[in-house]
Amino acid sequence: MNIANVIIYFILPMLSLSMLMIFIRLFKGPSLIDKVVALDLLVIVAIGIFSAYAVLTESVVIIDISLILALIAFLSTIAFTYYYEKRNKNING
Amino acid sequence: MENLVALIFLVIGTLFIFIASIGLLKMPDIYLRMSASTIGATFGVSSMLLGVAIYFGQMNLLLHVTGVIIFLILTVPVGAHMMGRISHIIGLKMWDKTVVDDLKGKYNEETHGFEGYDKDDESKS
Repeated sequence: MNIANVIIYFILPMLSLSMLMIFIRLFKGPSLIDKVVALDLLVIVAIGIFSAYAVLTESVVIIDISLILALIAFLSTIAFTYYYEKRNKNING
Repeated sequence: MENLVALIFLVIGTLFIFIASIGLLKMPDIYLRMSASTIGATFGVSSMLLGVAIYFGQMNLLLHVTGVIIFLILTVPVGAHMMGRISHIIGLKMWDKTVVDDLKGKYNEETHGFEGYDKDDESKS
């Protein structure tokens, strides 16, 4: 029941498997919004992998990345949807 | 003991993220996909970060992690709302077993503003 063994043999493979499934949705997604949702979830799963890796290597500094990644995920989602709406807006009739 | 609590939090977060990605892959509809991914990912990552903070047991790390969790809880629903709004506006197909669409006809077609009532629905006005 060592914590490093659980991280290596359970947590990181599960997260990698979920990343694989998100990548399948990212390549397959029928519309553009599906791909944006998949990218958003991809960054959030990356935060999870970084936190598990920080526990594995006993280094606190890696946690600092998570705030930046959360910020980038939020801003990219907002920007993507904002300009996608602008592109579809039909003001001039 | 602290390691065991941290491990339980990490495993719960991992399962949440795994279920969220299964939902993202297998759900039939963009709206259901968005619901699964948003809820699962928010609570999964929050749980994993709490596990990390419990494992290291430092006060400044706990504050840092709390900031990240509050930021995630504030911003992920905003992004999901934006995506659901634009996908309803551009008219993505719902699942064919969906029974009711409350937003039908309530967005202005030209300006994308929210009207709050259905102009074509005569019975309510």
